[in-house]
Amino acid sequence: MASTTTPGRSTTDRPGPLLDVRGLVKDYPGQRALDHMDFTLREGEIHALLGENGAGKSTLIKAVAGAIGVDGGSISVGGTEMEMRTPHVARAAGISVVHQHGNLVTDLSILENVLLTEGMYRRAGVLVDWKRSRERVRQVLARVGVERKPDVLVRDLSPHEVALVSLAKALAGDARVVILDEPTAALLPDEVERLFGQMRQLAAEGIGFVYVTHRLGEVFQICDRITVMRDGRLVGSWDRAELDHDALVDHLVGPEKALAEITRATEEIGPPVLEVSGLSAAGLHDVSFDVREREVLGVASLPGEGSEALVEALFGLRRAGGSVLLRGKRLDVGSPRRAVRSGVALVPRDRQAHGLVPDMSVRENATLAATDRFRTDVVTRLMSRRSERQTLASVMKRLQVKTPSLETSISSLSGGNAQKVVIGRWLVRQSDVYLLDSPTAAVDVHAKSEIYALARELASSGAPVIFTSTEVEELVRLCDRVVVLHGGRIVGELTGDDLTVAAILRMSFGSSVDQ
Amino acid sequence: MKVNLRTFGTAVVAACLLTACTSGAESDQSSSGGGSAAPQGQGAAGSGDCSEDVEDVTVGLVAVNLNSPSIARIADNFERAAEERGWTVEVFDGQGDQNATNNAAENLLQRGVDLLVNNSSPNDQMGPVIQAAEAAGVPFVSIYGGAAPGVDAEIGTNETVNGSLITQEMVNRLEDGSRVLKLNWTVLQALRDRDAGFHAVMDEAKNVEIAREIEVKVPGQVDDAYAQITNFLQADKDIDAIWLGWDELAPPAVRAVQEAGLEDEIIIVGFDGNPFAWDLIRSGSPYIMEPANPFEPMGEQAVTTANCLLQGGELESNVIYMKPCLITRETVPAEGEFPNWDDCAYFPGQIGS
Amino acid sequence: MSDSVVDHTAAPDVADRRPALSDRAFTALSRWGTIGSLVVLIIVFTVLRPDSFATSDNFFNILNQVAILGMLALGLTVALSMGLFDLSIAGMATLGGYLATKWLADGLISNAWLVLVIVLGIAALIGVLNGVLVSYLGISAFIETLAMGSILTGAVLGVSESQTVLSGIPQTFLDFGQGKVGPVPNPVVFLILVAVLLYVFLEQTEPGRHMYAIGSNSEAARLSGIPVRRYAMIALGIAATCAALGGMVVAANLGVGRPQGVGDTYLLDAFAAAFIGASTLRPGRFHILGTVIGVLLIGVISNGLSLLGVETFWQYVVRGLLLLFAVFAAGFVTTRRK
Repeated sequence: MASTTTPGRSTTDRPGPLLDVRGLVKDYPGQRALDHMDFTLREGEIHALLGENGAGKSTLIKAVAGAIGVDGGSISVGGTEMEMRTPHVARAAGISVVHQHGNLVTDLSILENVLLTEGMYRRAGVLVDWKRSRERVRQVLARVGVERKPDVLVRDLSPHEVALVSLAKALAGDARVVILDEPTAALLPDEVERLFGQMRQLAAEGIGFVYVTHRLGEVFQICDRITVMRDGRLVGSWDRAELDHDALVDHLVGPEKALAEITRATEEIGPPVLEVSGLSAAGLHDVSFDVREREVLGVASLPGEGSEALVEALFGLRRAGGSVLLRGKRLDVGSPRRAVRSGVALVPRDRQAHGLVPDMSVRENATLAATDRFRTDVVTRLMSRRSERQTLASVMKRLQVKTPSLETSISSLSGGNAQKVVIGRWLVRQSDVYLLDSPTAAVDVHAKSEIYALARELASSGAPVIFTSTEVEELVRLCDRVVVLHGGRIVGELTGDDLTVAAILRMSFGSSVDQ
Repeated sequence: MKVNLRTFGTAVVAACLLTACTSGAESDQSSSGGGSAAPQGQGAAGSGDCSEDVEDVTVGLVAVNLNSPSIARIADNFERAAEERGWTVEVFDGQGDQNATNNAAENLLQRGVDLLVNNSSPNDQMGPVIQAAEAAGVPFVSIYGGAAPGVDAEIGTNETVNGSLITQEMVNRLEDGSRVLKLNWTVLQALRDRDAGFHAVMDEAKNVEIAREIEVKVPGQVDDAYAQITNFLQADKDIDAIWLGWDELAPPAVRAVQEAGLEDEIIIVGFDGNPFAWDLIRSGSPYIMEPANPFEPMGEQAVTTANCLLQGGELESNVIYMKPCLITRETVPAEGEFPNWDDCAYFPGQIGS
Repeated sequence: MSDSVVDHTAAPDVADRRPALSDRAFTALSRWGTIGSLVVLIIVFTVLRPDSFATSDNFFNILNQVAILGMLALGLTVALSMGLFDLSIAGMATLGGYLATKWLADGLISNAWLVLVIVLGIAALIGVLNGVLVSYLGISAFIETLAMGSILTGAVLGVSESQTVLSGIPQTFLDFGQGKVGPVPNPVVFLILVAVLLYVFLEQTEPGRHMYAIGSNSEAARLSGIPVRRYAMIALGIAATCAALGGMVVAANLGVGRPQGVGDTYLLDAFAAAFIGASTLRPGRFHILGTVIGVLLIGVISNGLSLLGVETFWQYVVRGLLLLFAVFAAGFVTTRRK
């Protein structure tokens, strides 16, 4: 078994590591996102930073890049301790982050993007010195191996060129530490190869890479060292040679936790109610599954590997082929409107952007999907507020929404209560199929358990419930069965005693082994 | 100031040389007379005599806003008179946009018109156009543009005189202690001149008082005049006369006065000579009188003057004022007719003579 | 973690939930500020001009003067409630007034009511076309209606050959603008009718509810099964119809069919009224009652100041200051809330 690096003073013969994080702590209300985290990046090293969602990777990156303040610990660059108060300080210290979709402005040229943060060369302090600027950009493009003219618009580049230009932008700022946040998500295999080639070259020049990814195959292909995080803590750091794929997954998953309560179906699971077959869409290949009577079905995948696409396809947000049958009757889910009319309900993942109507009251939000239930007639389409209030009185009570009144603005409700109103919207409509897409995101613990109970209740009342979550534990705790997607395909199905966090994660990562 | 034809001809030749002017060459051969060909009356150049009829002239006429009935009447009559001489007239309507009007004028010069006519834009706001016309050797004639350097001829009426005439006639009809409400838009020069005439008389008329001077909003002048007078009469019914800077404001003014029930207490005077204002005078409304400017003869006068300039003739003065007609309940023409511009009355003493 | 409800969606930085007194004062200011201004102005003008301002005559006079502006602004409010700017209402008003007077004067149609209905129908169609272009072709409403406004202006100029219709308009049509019902001038009757209808429409009906939802969060509305695109046609159709009605009433009121500039006079004031309205009672939300207050505010300012004999330029300045104040107050509260 590999040994973890012991936290302590760096006593290497070099001048000090490029980046040295010691005992970093970051608290959010009710949650410790970083718990005495340690991390060391050496010169010329490609260092994988791994962990499941919510393990604290992105918090660590933000802290190092100066995007958020920290509550304890230290960050040193080249042996000097620094306070990363702003992104500017971090950039000046040579730390640069390249995000998943690149931080490029697509309507600007390569040149303008690369020199966006650094600034163009100037003549007499005012006029852009295009000649020198172009020369500089050509140099960095050559370093990342992009053979494009600096004036080409980023919009016209292929995905791997975008990734490389993002890298070039980091290098233009004389970055010594480059943090790559899932740079390969949009790339084809041979494009990934080319990116890796350039990374190796740059590493040979002494640049250190922090490489964040979910694709474990890539980790063994490119990385020198591997650091795994879990629950905001360091699990360990190893040289690549010290680990194999299985050992790494063990570290990622950790020991199976005793889950607080498991709320699986107590009654007998019935026959299939909802049958999805041959569903294909962008990012989704020939997906078939069913949801049975009284069952809460979980859908799990790593980000971008299929669960989002599946939810969108089932609600008409992605054009899809295949069929969806509810009790043998075909559902039309060609558009959100048609899906709603067919009885499909969606509690969207991003409550603020897609769920709430911020300028409206609790009442208006709760009845939004079922306004036709409350109109007096079809001609004038007048709404009866009295009947709205009557119906809502029972729904709000069932959901235990805490609100001063039905006329309160939805914006003044807490996340949990607002989410219950969004769910209530579909109860008012009396929908038949429920897509709960990470419904517990950003709600408090109490509201979470209420939402679980509600999902159960819906399922036992006979409505198929499909549940996704960014927290795998939730799926284990709530769902009777979980289908796992990878690369847009179903790679497995877990139920009963086989349904564990480790099993879901293994399957989610699993097919990266196939590469 | 005056551009003689030799310079004009030279300029045309120079322009042709500079632009390798092919259409000019063609027209030399075919003598079909394109836009850039010199007028045929060339032989009389420099004689200072205006007796000849210049033919084959292309005229560019720019008007800042042909929606204004008076501007439209000037343009129509200019066009008619010019076409009677066989001239070609190209009209541009600026839709109230002076900048667009200036651009259009410069484009017309570029395309080689022989004569540029400004219909009712302030010449002060057309400085670059006037310079460009001068450089191109194209005569620049304006109607209601005001005197300005570089303008070869300005046809207009003396609005200061009109203003004092009508104000004096109004004062003559008022008793001691009368109060007058004035509405005007003192942005246009002609309206400023009328204002000057108004004040020249009112300063001396000790028995009559100015109750208020209101600056109306343009555009929206019709609605605004109606609202402003209604509001004013709401607060102050002790008004004996309303003086309007131009007669487009007459219908809303009459309506406001009638609605306040003051049609027998108030007289209204104005300017310009639009037929709808004459309808009001004829019908016995509070709108009783205005000088009517001779828009029809002005168009013709502009053509005559231009004819003279095009053959190198000299003008006695480059500002040519025309005589208006005084329109009262007695002299108002029958519906659909116009006054006899040549021998109509201007002073009340001429009426019925 | 305690059982109390913690809002994770709020900014994670500490101590951001302090309901400061100043916060509440600003909220009150933004809700009641414009109504307060209206009341204060009315009191001031009444004190300064008791004989002329605070009379029933002047009351109807003010309403009469804002009637046209009101009709345009109320229609615009419907479009704005969905987040759509409609700049074509100016051209629409001009077209409506011109077509009605022209057809009547030419004797093409002799019944004034028939003309009213036909012109409103044409306006509704043009508005629906606006909606189609905006929602199905995805052109921004701002640009699309700007273009449509230009097309309408050109069309009416072409049809009219720039000639104003001055005579031959039958009395029944003129009565739309000049007649009275009891003591109430007809333009005010039209205004009240439009205001009541649109109030009920936006506040009490299903389509109104849907439009507000779309205006506030169109994605949430779409995911609730609301046909978002279809509503753009309804909203812009209503805005265009109201504008054409305003154009016809002003033509009837003044007895002229002008081919240019009728609606342009009111366009910016209509936006001003709607934005003042959006910072009244329900900050950040366009609504009929608010727009009515905005329109009255503009009317009272012009009327009161001209009764006082204040120069026109001061009227502009005061109106501008008021608009700034109104929008500032609403914006301030909205940014604080976030």
